[in-house]
Amino acid sequence: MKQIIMPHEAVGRHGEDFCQALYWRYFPIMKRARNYKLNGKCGNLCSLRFAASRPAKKALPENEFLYDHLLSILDAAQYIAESNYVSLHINKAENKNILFALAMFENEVSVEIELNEALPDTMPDIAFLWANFDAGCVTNQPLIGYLNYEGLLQADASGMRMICKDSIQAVPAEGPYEWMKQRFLLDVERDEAFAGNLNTDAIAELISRSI
Amino acid sequence: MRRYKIIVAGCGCPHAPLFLARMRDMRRWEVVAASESDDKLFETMKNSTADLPDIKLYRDHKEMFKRHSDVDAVLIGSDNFYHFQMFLDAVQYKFNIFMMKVISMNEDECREMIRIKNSYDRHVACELELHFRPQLHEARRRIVSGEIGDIEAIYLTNVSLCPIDRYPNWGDPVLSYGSRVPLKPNSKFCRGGAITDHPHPYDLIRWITGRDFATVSAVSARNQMQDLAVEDHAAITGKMDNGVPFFVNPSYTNLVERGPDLRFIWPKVLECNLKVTGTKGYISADFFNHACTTCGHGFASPDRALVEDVPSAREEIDDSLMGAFAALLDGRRTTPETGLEESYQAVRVMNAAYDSIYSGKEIVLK
Repeated sequence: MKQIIMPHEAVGRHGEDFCQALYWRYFPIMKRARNYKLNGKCGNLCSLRFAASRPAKKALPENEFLYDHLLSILDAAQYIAESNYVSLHINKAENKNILFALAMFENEVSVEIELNEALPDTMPDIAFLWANFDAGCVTNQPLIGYLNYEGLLQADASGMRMICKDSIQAVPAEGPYEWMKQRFLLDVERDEAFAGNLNTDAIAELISRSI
Repeated sequence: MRRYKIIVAGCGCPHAPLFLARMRDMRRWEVVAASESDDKLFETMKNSTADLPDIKLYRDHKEMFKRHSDVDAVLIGSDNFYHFQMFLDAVQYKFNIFMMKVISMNEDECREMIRIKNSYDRHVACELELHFRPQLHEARRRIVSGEIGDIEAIYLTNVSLCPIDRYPNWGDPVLSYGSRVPLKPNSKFCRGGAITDHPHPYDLIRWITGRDFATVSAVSARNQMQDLAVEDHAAITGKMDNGVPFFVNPSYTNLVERGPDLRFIWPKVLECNLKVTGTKGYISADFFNHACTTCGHGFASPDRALVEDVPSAREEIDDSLMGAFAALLDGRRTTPETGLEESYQAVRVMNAAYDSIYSGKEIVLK
């Protein structure tokens, strides 16, 4: 099995002996959207919208918030858009892991990102993708409400958990982030994960120029 | 309570026919006349008022103003392009004035209307939606009362269907924006679409935060509807004047089948989600988080429309834009719920967003 490293550790590293934990690329909703792009069932991709929120107790150090979490979303967006970035604008709150980001690709696909690691600790993880095509869309955002679409909800006096369970998971995932991580690890185990730097150097450079 | 006589100047704004229909049900307003110069829109207006033979219809708003100079108010419901001249004409007759959506995308015209209003001895109000949506009203009350502490970030989507097939005038850059301005260098698309149609998100953010916008950056994706003349997508971010980051998506990305009949592809009319992160808590309000989801025959999109269908009590009369306007005329309110200044402030952000899309740069509002 290849070595697993975080994206910020992959910056400047080359070779094919490692896999980056670019979790969003392995998010089942992302994979589904990419399949629809490739088979043309939804038409041409126009815009991507990401909403990713976590309670503050899970907040990463700022460097990892930017160069692991944000980078992973930007990588996934590029994976589906299949084009080069022409712009990235990051609008970050001071001293908090909250940011909004806008990006454009050469093929005029846009990316909107809401990344928030400052929710109250009573909130579950939330991760949405909207892929808008000219003849359809793919999303896991429910028509009504704020939380994730389906799965299990379990609650007791200490709080509420939203659990993702699909047909191939051995262990249920505690929310969508864990779900992405499990799918990534499964692909690594099957030797189907993407190896090497991919476009991480360029995206990290883009982030550092934009922040 | 007194019932006020009102005339309707133009129905180019898709909301104008809705206001006409609602005012029929409101005991405070008696619609006595309406005007529309466009042939097709005139037919629409004629059909929608066919069961009200007492309403006089005109092709020229000036003629209507002259013949009904004794009415209490005029609702200016035309395309944005005509708003300024209609406002000037209405002032000549000393009408109380209610204007739809953006007062004008031309900021010089906005400032001139505000200057005139400041010495005008009648009332002027403006349609900026969402203040009376119960979820958003309650969210604001809790935020303003400090329940979630100081605001650290604010996010608002207003993602809707595209009304342009049914209202082609709404997709005409001149009628909508006021002039043909390319969206980006060498772009075939012009200003005047989804951004121009949605002034209320910026008003809602100002209403909730009590702050003004300081910086604006925006992008617009390739159009989902390539045959439109105007943009159907935008995403906007920036900072309020206290440094708090905001995000707005005011797009037309909820797909509908193309054609004059309203048939949804995406089954939800409008996503209007507010998310506010504070130092002591978090509030998320979904305009469509209603107790009742309806899908069935006879809705705008047969079998597929998820509509706002709330089994709620009838609203109090003041809890609506036209109710609040009547309260203003009664003297029970001293200021409009939303007026020219609020619309102008929204227009400034919208024009900054267009400038950012064109230049690729952040725009600083002065």
